[in-house]
Amino acid sequence: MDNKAIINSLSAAMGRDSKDITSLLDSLTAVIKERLSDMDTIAIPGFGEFEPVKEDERIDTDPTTGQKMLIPPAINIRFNPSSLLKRKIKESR
Amino acid sequence: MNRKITFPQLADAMAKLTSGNPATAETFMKHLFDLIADSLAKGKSVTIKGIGSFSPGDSQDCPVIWTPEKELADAVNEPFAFFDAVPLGEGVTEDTLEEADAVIDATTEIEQSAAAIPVIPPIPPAPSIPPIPSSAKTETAPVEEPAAEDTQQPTDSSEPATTASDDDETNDTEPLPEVEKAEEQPEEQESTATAEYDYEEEQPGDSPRRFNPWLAAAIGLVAGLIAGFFIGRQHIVTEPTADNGEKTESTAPDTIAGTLAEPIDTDSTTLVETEATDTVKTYEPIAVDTISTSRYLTTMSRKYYGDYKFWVYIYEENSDVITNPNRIRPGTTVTIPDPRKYEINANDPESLRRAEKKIGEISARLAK
Repeated sequence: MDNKAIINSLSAAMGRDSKDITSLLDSLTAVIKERLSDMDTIAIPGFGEFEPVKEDERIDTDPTTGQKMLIPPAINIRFNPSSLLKRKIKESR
Repeated sequence: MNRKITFPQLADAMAKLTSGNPATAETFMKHLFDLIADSLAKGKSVTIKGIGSFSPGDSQDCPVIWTPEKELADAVNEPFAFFDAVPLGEGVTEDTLEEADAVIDATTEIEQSAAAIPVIPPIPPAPSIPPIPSSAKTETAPVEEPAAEDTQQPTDSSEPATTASDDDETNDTEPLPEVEKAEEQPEEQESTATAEYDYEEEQPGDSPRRFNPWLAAAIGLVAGLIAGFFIGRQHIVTEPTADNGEKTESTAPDTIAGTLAEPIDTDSTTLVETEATDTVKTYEPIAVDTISTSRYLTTMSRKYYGDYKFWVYIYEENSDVITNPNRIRPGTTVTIPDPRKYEINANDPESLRRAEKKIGEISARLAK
């Protein structure tokens, strides 16, 4: 499901203009980006957590060339699905 | 920082941004994440612009794979954005990175000791400064007649001085026509000319060690000449006699020391000899350590050289007290050799390979 389909189904579910939904979605992504950049964890009940994690530098081997590389430190965002979401996916299978 | 943003807080922040109602924001988010969860439960992946894509995972442990959108990931990773992955050499391992601090300490120690040692070699040539000018003088005029030499020497030595002064004069005269064209140029040219002149002066001395006595001799002679011009020509005649006295004194030990007819060669050989003894001296052990239950040859090697493999050299150096490197006794005092003696360098793969080869040789010898 792509972005456009999401907006259409959301506007149908909420009975709102797709324009409003787009602006709401934009504000949500802006807030998420701002919070995550501040190293804050975003918890969405029944869905999961978005958590920025700092990873230290490490040595890794490039699988294609076999060249040893020093991977610099980075902040990656980790998504931990909540148990509710996990159960929902598990039950549907 | 490091707070947990809850659902209502998120809705408030959204409402502030859109200047709308937090309740609508909350219902919107509920709908959105329900929709994502539903499509994930159906086994469909969802892509949301600005957040990323959610796709169903393949295992129980990882039911959802979330790939953040590049824009979001870059924004979060901004503090480290300027880093790039760096290709490493073969010799670098995790160990070397972990012990980088310890190695830095050890190398600074070694550098300090190394800095202290090379200070010694320049000192021995210092006493040999007087012989060098004398030999240089004899080089220009072979030992035939001291009197003739004396007369020749001032002229010989005056040659560089006069040529130098000539150079200066020509340099001064050359820029003159150009003064009309550009006023600033002559100054630059003069400076470059003097620089060239200095360089020419440097060239006669092959090494920087030899250069100093040459320059000293040249300066002394130039100064003497200038003084002679000021006082009178008679003074020049008296000055070389003083030089002659010095020269005979210095050449006499040379002839005694070396049976060779050429004093220059003896000088150079003695210099080489002193240098050789100096280099031998630099390989003095850098430390003395005692084996204990927590300090082995490998830990010492790691401490002093940065890699455990170099323990072989410590063993080699202390083979009189340690017969079997696998059976070392606590309390045994060992000397740590200078890393340069065996060309030990933890960052050099070739050096590490040599150590590994040596380990193999020793283990083969012990297996017999």
